[in-house]
Amino acid sequence: MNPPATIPVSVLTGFLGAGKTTLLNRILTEKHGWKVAVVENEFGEIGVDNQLVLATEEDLIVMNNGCVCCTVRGDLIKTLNDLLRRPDKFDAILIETTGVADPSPVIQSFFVDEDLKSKVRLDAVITVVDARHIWQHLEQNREAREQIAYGDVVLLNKTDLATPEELDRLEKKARELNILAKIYRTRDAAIPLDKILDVGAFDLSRRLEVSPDLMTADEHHHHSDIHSISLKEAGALDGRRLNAWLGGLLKTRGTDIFRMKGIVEVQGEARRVVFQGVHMMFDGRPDRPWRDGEDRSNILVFIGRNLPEQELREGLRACRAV
Amino acid sequence: MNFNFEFDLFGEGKKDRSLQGQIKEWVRAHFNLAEDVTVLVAEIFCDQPGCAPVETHIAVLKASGREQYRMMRPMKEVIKQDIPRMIPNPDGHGARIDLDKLGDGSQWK
Repeated sequence: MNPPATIPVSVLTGFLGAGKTTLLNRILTEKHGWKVAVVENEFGEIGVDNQLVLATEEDLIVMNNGCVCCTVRGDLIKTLNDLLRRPDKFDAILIETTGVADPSPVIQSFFVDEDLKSKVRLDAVITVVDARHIWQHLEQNREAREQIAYGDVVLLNKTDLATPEELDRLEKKARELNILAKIYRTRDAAIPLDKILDVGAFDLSRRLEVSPDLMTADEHHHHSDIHSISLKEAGALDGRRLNAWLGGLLKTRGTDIFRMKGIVEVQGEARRVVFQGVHMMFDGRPDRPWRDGEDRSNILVFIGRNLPEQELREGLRACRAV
Repeated sequence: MNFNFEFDLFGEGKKDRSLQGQIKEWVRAHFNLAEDVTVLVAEIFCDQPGCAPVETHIAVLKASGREQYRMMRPMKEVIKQDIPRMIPNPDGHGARIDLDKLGDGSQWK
């Protein structure tokens, strides 16, 4: 039996002036056939045609020592629960974050509550980037770099204000920060909604189906404190060792791990084991059985700050079952 | 799959919706909460001195505000009798274990 359908949730982030509101207005006003509920950090509640805009006031639940690793948005969890109790049904939910906000508490809110996870799923983090003015932010603001690092979909917006060479350079920079992101170039945030809503971009498995060559690209040039590391290693892993290794990593490097995704083969398990994490929040479980002849290489991707590639590579190797 | 992981990363404890749901039910009954009040149950692990390695955190999200509690044990070890003994954790962070506040049902493993 198929699991019940879950509503895809997109998180919209981006630095001030990048074009989030332009994109949001397009979603709210254009005729596209999607019924979208928007949650934003503003006061009041308005209905725009067929859409619904809900406002919340940010309420961070810091569960542990002020660490961002264990911080979730209580207002968001409550608002989504309230929304799901409504009789009206939505095709997608979009959550807008404030311009300078670290998006991780929003993302982590989808890791903690199993009830919520049974009804909604984090579909993609969409990061809107001002193609002309992002450079000064990238150099001066950690948040600007981090927002790209968290993105599953990155829109290089305002392409009319940058030269093709500048756009190429920016795309290369974004790729360096985030190997997994799907990158689009947009003007006035114009993009078909099926490129950004219900795209399953948060899911590494679906991302690899769309771009199977993702893991073969050699993009490991670290010119920034934030970077991506992808590992591919053949051979079934020992479940206990894997858990001990990942558990240790989350404990010691959770603050610096923005995103972690993986598909691995665990000895004695006929299904793929897939997982993803944001800081110390972790969600892992077996999904479908391995297919005949399928490449069972273990695939792990880390996006974060000052991550030790060699140590991670050796750590994964040490998890292999002997 | 029956992993018995130290942090239960893949496993049977914190991913168990019915287990989380059971704790929510106990909390709801204990505080006599209305249906529109959201209860959040989360398990976190921590390596800070004074913290249990794995803790269960409870947040009660009311329209009037939020209340937070913690229990110094993994979610799968929480029993109904722990709920009245939950440690208020209003600031949600930085709280160190105060042995006087630990109820009889709490164990630090």
